[in-house]
Amino acid sequence: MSDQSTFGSDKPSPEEVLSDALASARRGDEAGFTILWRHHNSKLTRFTQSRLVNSSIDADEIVSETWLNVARDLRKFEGGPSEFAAWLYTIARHRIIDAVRIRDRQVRPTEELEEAFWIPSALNVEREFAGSEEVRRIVSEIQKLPPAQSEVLLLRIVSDLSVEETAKIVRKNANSVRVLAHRGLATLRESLGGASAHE
Amino acid sequence: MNNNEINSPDDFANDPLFESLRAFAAEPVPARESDLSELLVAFRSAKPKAARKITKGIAFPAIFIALAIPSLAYAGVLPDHVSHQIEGFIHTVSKPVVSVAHKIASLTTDTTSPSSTPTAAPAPSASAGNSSSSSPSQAPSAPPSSESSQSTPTPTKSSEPTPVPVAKPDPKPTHSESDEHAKSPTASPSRSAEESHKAEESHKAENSPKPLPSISATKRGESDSEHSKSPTPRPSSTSQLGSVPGSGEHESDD
Repeated sequence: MSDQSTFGSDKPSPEEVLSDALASARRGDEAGFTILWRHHNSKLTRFTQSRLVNSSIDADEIVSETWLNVARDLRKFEGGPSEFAAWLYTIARHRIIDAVRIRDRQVRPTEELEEAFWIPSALNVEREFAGSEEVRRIVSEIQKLPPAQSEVLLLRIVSDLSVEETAKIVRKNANSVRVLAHRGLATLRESLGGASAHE
Repeated sequence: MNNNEINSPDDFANDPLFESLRAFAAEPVPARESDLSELLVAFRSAKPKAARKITKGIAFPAIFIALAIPSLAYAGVLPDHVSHQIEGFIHTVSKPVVSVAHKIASLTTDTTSPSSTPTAAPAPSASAGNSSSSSPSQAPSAPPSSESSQSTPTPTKSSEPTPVPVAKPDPKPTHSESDEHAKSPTASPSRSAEESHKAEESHKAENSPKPLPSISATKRGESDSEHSKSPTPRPSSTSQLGSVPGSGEHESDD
């Protein structure tokens, strides 16, 4: 028991590391900001790529804009690591919504123009999901779900966020998030199970 | 929304159906250090913005309030008791500010005047005397002239609130003073500051009507009797110059 306590005191938990990093970053420490970036950037990028799987919007650009927003407003942020994750994904979500709106307003090129100038519709998805047909198929099926269900599932599976964190991001209560995840999973199992049965 | 849906466990965490998706999510994205360096630049640049925001949030409203409240008080918008308090406060605050400004102004005029340079001493001394006659700050320190001592300040006349009594100084003492300035140019700034201070004090003392009659009545008792014989009495403005201490010597000389 004592060994465990001394071992625990020697090595801080990831939660403590993130909490310290967040506190120091709020004071303006760049090292703390770097720790936060290294911890969250991969999952944030994967989440953004999954959300934009059939879109021409660049996921990396969304991630960069999100982090720039965080760098600008981190001193005003109040809360712990869990709240920070929710804040981070909320910013990314808003950036994605804005980018989709801007894209929908733009004039879409015709098929002839696409062939002539080779304008890829989802270049980043082709690049990111290359060599992983299974992942691409699952993500495509998730995107076919109602938007609220697909968003909750991606946040829960890809970003590995808790129900409470997801609820903060999508601005629903925890029970609503559980119900959305349950319904989305049921639909997904049917579609993916049926597809695998057909194959 | 039923209880089964709410209480359903997060079974997708171990669902083999999402194994590949979980592996994809856990796969680290190659970190771009260039992105991180750009972010750190943005993170650094957010610091002065915060300071600027604080400055804007505190300093500008404070300046606005400091300008707005006195102007409202003078405009009569505020209630009387509030505006009286504000005016009193402004008066008390403006006193030291004005005295400091006078000192600075006198210093700058002395340093810029040509009498401060020893080479140009004789020529500007006369002009300095003329200028000193127009400036009330240097006159009270000058020794009173015989003309001023011959004036007949009656107690009733001296009690009248007169304008600045140093407005008509005798050119002679100021001339001699300017000669002194020409002889010792290094001592001129400090002395002029003292003179201006004395001028202010005398100005205040003469503007206040109460103390003047008593001073003139007590100190000028002899001179009153003497000057009562004089056929052409001086106006009260010049007669109050006699209330400057030390004027009695000149009277006795005359």
